[in-house]
Amino acid sequence: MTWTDKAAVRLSDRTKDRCSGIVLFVAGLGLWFYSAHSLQRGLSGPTEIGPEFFPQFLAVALMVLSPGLVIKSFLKRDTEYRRPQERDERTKQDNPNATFYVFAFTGMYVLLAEPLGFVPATLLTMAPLMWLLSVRRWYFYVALVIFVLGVQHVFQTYMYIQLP
Amino acid sequence: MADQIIGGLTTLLEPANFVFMFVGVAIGIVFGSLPGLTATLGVAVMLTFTFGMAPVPAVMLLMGVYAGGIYGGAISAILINTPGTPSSAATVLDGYALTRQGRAGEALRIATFATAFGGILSALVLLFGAPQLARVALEFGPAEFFALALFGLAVISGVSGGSLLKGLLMGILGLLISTVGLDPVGGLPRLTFGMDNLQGGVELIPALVGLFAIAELMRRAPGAHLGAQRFETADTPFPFTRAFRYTRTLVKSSAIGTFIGAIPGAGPGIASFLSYNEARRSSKNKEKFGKGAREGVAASEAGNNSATSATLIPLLTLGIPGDTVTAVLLGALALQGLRPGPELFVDHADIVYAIMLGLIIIQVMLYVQGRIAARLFARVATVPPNLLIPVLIVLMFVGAYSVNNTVFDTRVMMVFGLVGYIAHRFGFPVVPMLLGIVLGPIAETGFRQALLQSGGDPGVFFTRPLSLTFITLAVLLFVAPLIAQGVSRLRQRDRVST
Repeated sequence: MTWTDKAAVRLSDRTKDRCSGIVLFVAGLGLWFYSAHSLQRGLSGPTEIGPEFFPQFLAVALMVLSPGLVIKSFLKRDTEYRRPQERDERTKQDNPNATFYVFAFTGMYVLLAEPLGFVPATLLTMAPLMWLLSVRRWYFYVALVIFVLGVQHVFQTYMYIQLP
Repeated sequence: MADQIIGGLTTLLEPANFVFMFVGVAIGIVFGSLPGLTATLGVAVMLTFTFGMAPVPAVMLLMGVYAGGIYGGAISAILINTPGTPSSAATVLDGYALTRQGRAGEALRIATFATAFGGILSALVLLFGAPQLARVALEFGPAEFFALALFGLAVISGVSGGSLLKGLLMGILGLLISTVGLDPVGGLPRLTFGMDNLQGGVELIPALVGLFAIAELMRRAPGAHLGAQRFETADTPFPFTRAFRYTRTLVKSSAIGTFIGAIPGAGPGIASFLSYNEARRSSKNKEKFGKGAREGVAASEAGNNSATSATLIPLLTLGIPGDTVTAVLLGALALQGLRPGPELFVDHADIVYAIMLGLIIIQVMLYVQGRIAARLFARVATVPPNLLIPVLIVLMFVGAYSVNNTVFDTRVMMVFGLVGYIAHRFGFPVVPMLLGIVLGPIAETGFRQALLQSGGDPGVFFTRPLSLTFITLAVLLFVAPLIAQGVSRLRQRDRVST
């Protein structure tokens, strides 16, 4: 299980609400401090709303509303929350690590695309991902190569977009 | 007017025009259906092919790409829970729910019908009432834009799923994200944390692709190794005649879309959300919305496509481009030596009327191609996910990259992917966040400019009739569900006590 899965499965909906309420409140507080102290103020007259107004207003709104999640988690009855079996859409056959594979390999793809170039980075990351997702037929790998070269050709030749 | 229409029809009835319309729609559908590639990009790419073409076929080609692109956005929204364009975000809500029920074909066919219906109705308004509607659109100042954005944000109450509070919090986060970059009035950097790439703000397309597509792939991944889709019957039929059951919704959504599209700067995104919300509000089966309501798909698609034709109203009558695509179209017309505005209707009436009549034909072509495409695309829902995931990742990467030709946008896509995934696991709806990102700049710019013009007097929002109307509607839209919820709770309590 990935860390996100572990956390999400283990936590009850009630705890998730409390955690997210606290995290959003802290984020709002942080943003309010940041926008109050670090944002440049425009050459505004007494009637003009400056660039810091909206971020500050939204940060305050976040701080005002997020405790609502925590408060509601105490007021809600157990029956109002989903049961674990309703919450988890997965079956026993599922591979929970696959979520992590998809995120990690896409992240690697994004990081490698610039230094390696579009075609090598795609093949280096997507082929292992296909293998991890149980693609075993060799011709699908050949199809991947043709697809990647095709995408590069279409983008560069017809759409004038130079891929990395 | 009859003479002008006949003159336009004569100009339009050149075989080459029909070929360009057909090709334009097909290219647009491909662009729109690929997550990350937008109708705007499609039109920009095809613009280079219009050099040297006559005005009518050139505009028809580009309008075909535009209409096809907006429709194409619904395909990926329905099949892979990823709006191909921002204007299809509302389609995700019920379209993907229908796919999960094994009714992808049905959802696609409803979307096709609604798109063509909305497009034709809007083209007729363009043909017969463009100048009148343009006059109303001209009444829109900063106060009205702020009020309209507020009205759009009130839709959050209808797309928050089970928790309005969570929807509001996501909406606020979306609005906060929209404030990143140079501030729209003074040009000072905000919340960029020293990153030059953020000076231009967070790009909508990478954020959209991440929030919906990457998060969806991460959710689908655990069952991907099984090599089979969980949705069994993907190509479900939907007869043409059955679509007329939703005539009321389609007419209302088309009217909303046409009105919003005629306002420069508003765009099809707001139109689709407002249409969706109105359909939900007036439906007898409100509880079905978000769980696979056909009406929801019809409303959203009729709304966004009617807005695309209506964007031509301010362009042709006043020479004001309402969005990026119409700005490109303005360039295309200028290349042909045509200057949009009132004189265009006098000096080149045959061309203007040919374009307006051509829009109706484009919708018919879109319907025909859409019906065929629906049959083909519905099969995507049956492709084994372990093959689909890598292919989609590659397409999303190039889509996010091609917005600004920078890898930074693909990183933004990944960050939003993680946000979308965690939000889903924690029961937060992502559509309100998208609404916040889309409407934030309109709301902020309108608010600040209106106060600047009025010398800081907030009364400006309540003294202008259109602004007051939208603010009142926004308050009603927001408060009505809360009141209804309270009343039903009281009734429930009464029942329990008796």
